[in-house]
Amino acid sequence: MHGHYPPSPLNMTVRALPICPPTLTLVPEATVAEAMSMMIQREVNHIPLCTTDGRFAGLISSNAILRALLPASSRVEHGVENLNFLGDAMPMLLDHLRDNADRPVRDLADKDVTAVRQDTHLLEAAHHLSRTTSPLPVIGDDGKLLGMLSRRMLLTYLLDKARTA
Amino acid sequence: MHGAAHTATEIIWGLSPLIVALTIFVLTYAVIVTERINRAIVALIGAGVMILTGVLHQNEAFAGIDFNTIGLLTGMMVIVAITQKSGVFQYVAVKAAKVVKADPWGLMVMLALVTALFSALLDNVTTVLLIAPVALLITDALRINPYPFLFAIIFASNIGGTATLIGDPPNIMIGSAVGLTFNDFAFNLAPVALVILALTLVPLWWFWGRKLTAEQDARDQVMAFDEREAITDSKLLKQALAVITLTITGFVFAHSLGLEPATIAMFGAALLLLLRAAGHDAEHQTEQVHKSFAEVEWVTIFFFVGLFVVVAGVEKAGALKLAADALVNFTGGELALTAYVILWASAIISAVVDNIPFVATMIPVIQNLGSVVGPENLNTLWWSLALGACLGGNGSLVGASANLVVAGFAERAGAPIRFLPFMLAAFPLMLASIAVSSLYVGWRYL
Repeated sequence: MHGHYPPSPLNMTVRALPICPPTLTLVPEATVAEAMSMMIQREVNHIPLCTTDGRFAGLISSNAILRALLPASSRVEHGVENLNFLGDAMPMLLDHLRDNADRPVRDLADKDVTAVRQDTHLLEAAHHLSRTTSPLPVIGDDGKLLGMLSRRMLLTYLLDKARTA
Repeated sequence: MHGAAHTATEIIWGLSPLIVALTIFVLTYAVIVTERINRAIVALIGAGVMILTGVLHQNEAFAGIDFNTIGLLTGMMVIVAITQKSGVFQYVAVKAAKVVKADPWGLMVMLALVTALFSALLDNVTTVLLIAPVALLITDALRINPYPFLFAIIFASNIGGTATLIGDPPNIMIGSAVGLTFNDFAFNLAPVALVILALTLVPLWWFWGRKLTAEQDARDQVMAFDEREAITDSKLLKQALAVITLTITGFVFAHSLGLEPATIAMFGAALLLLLRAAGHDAEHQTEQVHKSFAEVEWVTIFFFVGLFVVVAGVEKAGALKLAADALVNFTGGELALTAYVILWASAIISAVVDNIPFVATMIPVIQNLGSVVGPENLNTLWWSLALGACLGGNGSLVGASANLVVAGFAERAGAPIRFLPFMLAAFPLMLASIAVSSLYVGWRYL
């Protein structure tokens, strides 16, 4: 195998990519209200959760918060699909906003979010990214969050490669 | 008969067909109870083994499958699958809430009535699958605990299902095996079901109803719901209501027309499919028919198929005759005692295990009792079995599929129903409904 193909360029891993350092994080105990204000102020839709010692503990998205504000029976399988008959249901939405504001953010965090490591192959990282709407957390061997890999960074990198090849 | 048994003995390596059939039967039931393997798979494996070991010939296995039950269930499932797309169930539930001005106790009574009515005319699982989400939506808007309402829906669905031939699978099986008609069920079981439903509301009021209150602004919000917006397809609604009316009328007159319920349900399903298909191109029709068939609960249907074969196996081997003899020994063949034993035992067993396999087994057992209690008295035993098996389903969360469907939905929606607290309230309430049934059976038939 190695005789035919030069190993390093084809063995591209996440390590080769620039990632955003984790400057914007929340502890899992932070409240949903704090997450919402941070999202609004910093104009982001996803915030990684890190324990006080820097270990990755999930991801909170604006979509997950929005989902929590909808009536429970509309967001589950076999639920009510047509909500037209409820009118605007503003009181219900605001009720749910109040109910959720003081909850710890980990309650609404995306539980099945995948994190990748630096030695994860680029293709696998791209595959994960293609199946979610959030950026991809990159963690070290000690479980600490190294940063977030965004779709745009991956595409920029690939475009750059295509041009220089 | 002796010759046939002899051949079977030879086929299964010299073992007694009775022992082999019973072993397969017990193993099948044991695995079904563990719920580790999907019940349809278990029943079909059990059925296959019955044939492979030579207990049953394939022709006998086919003859054991009650296609009237299968056809009735499948036909009704297709009709409901199409109808629910119209939004009619949401419409009725919201309308019911508004009729009582969104008062919580009034809402609980209305939801119980609506659920019982739909469960009597359609299958319970579908009914609760459609009513529970709307109930949760309304209680959400009212800012009240949904649990009492889900509890009431579970009870109402099993009680409503008891009332008619098509309401609950045990009734479908009994009606089909014995030739009891839609009207027989309506005349004999609907009155007591109605009484039990009314009486059940009393403890529900005492436990929860009298303490439930909702703030005025929350009630105003529910009153502002526009149920007409729930109807997503009014043409479909008209077609579906016409077909359902026709089908139920068909059930009422089936006996005098010399028709079986399966024919009527399947014909109704075909008619509704035809109405839906009219005016669409072939490709669209195929897609629509495919989608409608896909919503049939094939797991339940194949579970029935496998189970019928397993029960045919133990019956042919003579095990159910032995069970009937044991029952007669216990009761001395006295009609009243036999009826009460069947009623109470069915209720308690159905509270903890699936009532479908239980009833499938009990039908041939009771048929064997005809010579002892007198064929003219057999109906008393059928009504006892139906009441016990259907109402027993209320005894625990695993007692009926409808209970599990509500529990599953409630859990996904973040309002889980716990097994033990449910049973602590439900089991005594179920026993009370069986006590009422005993009085009814005693008063009317003994």
